[in-house]
Amino acid sequence: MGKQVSKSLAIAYVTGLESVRRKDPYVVLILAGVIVLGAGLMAQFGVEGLHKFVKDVGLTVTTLFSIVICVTTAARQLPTEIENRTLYPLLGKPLSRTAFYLGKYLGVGILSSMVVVLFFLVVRVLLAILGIPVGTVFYQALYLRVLSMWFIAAGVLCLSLYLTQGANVTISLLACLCMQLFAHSILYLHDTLTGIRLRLAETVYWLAPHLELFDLSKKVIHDWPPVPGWVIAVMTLYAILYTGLLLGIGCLRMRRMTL
Amino acid sequence: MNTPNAVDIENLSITYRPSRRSQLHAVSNLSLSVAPGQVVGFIGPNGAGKTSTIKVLMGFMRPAQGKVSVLGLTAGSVEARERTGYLPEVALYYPFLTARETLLLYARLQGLERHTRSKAVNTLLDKVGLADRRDDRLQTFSKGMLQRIGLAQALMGDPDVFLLDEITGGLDPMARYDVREILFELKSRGKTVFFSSHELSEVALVCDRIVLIDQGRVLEERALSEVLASIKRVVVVTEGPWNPASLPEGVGMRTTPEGHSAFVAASEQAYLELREQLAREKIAIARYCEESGSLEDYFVKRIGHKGA
Amino acid sequence: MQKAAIGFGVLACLSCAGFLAVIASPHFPVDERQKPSEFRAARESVTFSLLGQVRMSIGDLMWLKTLEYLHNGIIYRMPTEAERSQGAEAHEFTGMGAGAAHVDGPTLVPGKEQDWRGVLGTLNRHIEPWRPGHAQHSDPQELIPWYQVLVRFNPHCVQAYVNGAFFMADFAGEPERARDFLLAGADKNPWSFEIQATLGKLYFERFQDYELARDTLKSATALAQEEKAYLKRHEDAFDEIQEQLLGETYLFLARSYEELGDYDRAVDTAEAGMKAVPGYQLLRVEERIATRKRDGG
Repeated sequence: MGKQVSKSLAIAYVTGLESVRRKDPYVVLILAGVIVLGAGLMAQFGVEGLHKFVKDVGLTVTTLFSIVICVTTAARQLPTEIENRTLYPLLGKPLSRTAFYLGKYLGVGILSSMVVVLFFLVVRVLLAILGIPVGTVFYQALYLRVLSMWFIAAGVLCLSLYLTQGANVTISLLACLCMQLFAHSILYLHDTLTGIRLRLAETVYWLAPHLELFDLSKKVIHDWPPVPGWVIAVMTLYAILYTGLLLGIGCLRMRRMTL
Repeated sequence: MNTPNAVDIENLSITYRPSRRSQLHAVSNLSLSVAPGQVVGFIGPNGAGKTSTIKVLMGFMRPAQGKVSVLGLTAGSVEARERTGYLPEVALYYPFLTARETLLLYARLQGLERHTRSKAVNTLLDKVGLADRRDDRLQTFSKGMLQRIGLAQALMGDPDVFLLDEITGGLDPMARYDVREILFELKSRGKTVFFSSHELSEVALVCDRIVLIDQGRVLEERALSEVLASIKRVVVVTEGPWNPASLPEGVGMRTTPEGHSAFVAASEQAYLELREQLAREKIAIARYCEESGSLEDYFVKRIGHKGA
Repeated sequence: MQKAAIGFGVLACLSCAGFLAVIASPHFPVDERQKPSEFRAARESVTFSLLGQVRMSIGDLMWLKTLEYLHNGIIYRMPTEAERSQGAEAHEFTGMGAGAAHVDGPTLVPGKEQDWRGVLGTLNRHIEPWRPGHAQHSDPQELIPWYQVLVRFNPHCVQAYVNGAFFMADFAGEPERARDFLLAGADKNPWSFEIQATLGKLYFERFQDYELARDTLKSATALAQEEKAYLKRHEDAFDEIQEQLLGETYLFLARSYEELGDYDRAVDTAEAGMKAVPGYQLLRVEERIATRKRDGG
């Protein structure tokens, strides 16, 4: 068990190293520059003290870019390994498929988290320079966003065992970016539905991965007080359970797959 | 307690499903075993089922039926792979890693202790002739150099059994020589090597035994010495030139540098018929000799329809 | 490095496309108001759906953003038919002037009693900005950039000019900027009586330029009459907010005449306004005041 953990860490390390040597950090830095530029749009409007606007632009761009990076990174891992046949010599060693899968997951999770932290850091510095205060809720938002990256990575990695890379990226991005829309739409529709449609809508709502619940950016933007600690704890538990489920499905599929 | 065979395959069948409605039988009821310390060549034409069999031995595929084990352990289990060195038919390695980083990764995956990894990596780089390229990224390596890296990772941890798929594929003559040396060394150290190859000359040089496979079935499983003995030919050299109108079936003709006619009989029956014809036509025989036939011709004849 | 170059290339292409759109836009002026029937026809057009609709949709999203800002991030919705039948009502918010009117209904995220989602609902109420009861409004200055972005996407969104100018003048204290914003809007939407009316009110209240206010408001009433006549021909009419704004237009026009000492016209305008917008009571008061002043009272 301990040996397999060490091997998972080796796979995670190589996943990270690949990203660094593929020059992905340059892309991240360019995107961080876009955040700064986006927030700098404020100067265009010539109005002093647009705190909400700066925070909104910064956090929206952060959310968007971090999700795109996480999805594209996670989606390419397994198909590329299989397509390039780099998987065979690796699994020729005493490395269990589960350890390999979890290593990949770990690598993507750590990378995505680092990207989120970097983006939040850029926003934080920008806000500090502009003299815009942020409260505890900003750090809570950072924590939940990091948590969501691990959640998303688990989902995308799992889907990559069933779908082609292109289909996976499209579906995952749609799911990540439209989850809020879906959750809001169902709230609109709920009272107008009856019978089996109502049951169906409720079932879909309960089963769907509620990524929108990991987004505290509106509370940061509109200066709301921090959310209670138990909410963060429940969200952590929700992420762990759902991620565990997705990883379980992924590991099972990986173990049964013909290579 | 009996020592288990290095490789045991019993009634193995492998089926692919190219589409929902069709099935392709890559291997049917294949049985073979490899004793510890043997070097066995697994040969056959393209699509014969060699790679599929090795993939099952590594646990990459599930057989439709049959039992497969390596060193008495379930094929593909972590325990079996711990004692197996595997070289895939076509494998790429992470192009962004250097040769040294690649082997360090495999050393870690093999479970080598941290303090022994670096030494093992350096030794293997020396062995496969890549010591001077240790810090170069694999993206700059040729196909042959990547194959050497592949061989080095297979040797990592000094496993007991080697499953090598198309070991000399893509290698130049010098590299092939190096690989042959490594195989000789493994053989001398009592390691078991089960390898597939298209290069029959390699097979003839290093194998103890061959397994000939075609269309998923074993056609022949014999010691190499028996095969070589069975393909020996009798050469009859006549006194002076002789150009007969016809020759018995299985007899070939060529001219020696001295201008004599030499007749090569590929079988005992052909030799007897040739002797009768020579006697009938009163042709004097200068000498008899034996020569080894071509392994390639043998396999072509054995498989009957396509080259090995 | 290659990827960074591709990224820059894509950004450069997008920027070029944006600049081209900005340059091309003035050459395709919309010099006549798009009528509801034209909108219906346009929506069935493939070209409009592919291009124009995107612009409008982004504009609509920005509009929602302004509402979200105004309500501190809380999303309100219109009551459903079922809720209306049970007596629930949306409360109209018109305190910022007719042009800024909007509707606050119940919150989109339901309260605990109405929520069917159990723990997910509870989490939702904590994660998303949510508060029971009527909407409380934030500092509307924060809305200004969104109006400015909005009109770049959809320069025919009259409401954005009107609301944006209101917040610039009344909250940011920058009437000059509000005037320029409205003038830009009037340039893009020469048919709009709403923009002219708001501009006229701005001249009256903030610049005390009664002549300019009079001329602008006169032009607004003319445009409104034209619009009303058009709608009548198509069996349509002004909505409540437009009616109220029209009433205000007559009121401020009458007051402009009054300020300029032309009491006869002030009385006539008030009377015309009372005929045009019978429900707008302030015109009666204005008519009495102007009549008293004319008669030397």
